[in-house]
Amino acid sequence: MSATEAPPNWPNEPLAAILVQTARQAAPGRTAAIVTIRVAQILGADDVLALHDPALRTAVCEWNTHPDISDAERAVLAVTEQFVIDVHGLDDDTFTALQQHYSTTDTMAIMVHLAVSDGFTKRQIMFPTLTFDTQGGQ
Amino acid sequence: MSTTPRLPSAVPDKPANLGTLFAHQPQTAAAFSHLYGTFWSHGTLDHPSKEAARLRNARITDCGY
Repeated sequence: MSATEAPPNWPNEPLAAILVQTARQAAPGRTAAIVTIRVAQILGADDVLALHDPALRTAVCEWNTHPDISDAERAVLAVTEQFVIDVHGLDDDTFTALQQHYSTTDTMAIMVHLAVSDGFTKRQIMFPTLTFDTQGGQ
Repeated sequence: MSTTPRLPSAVPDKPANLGTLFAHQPQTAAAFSHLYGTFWSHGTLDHPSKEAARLRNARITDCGY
């Protein structure tokens, strides 16, 4: 895919930034960061990954076994992977595991952040010259 | 994939749907609604093109909503 310039005078940029930041801040703990990193790893968004802590990137990359990833975060990352790769493959067991660790409010926050992160990371790949921070580097 | 919402409605006596689920996160809902409303009511892209993209996206992702 060839990179193209972002359209000039994109009227929704400030509102998009507000949505991204609000969704990120609502996600509990460091779930926003690990979701953003895993989405970027799956989609191959290297410029997004460069914004994040290398140690956390490694932990997320090896999330199934890495000791720095908690059981709750593993549940988040299992949902994240399936959501990005094939959302129709997201089964009840995977989602129930997420709900066992988080309240309904937090689960909703995580899912909204995941959807926003997936969408804006794909957009970042298409239009690398963003005018606002969509990825929340640490 | 589940065909019914996996989370409960945040609005008493209302069924779970996008709006009542978003009510769990009112600030995020407001930000989304502001962006989405502006997307549909402003911009240089004509409305038929926006609708065609929306329908194609829904078809590819099999989104019945």
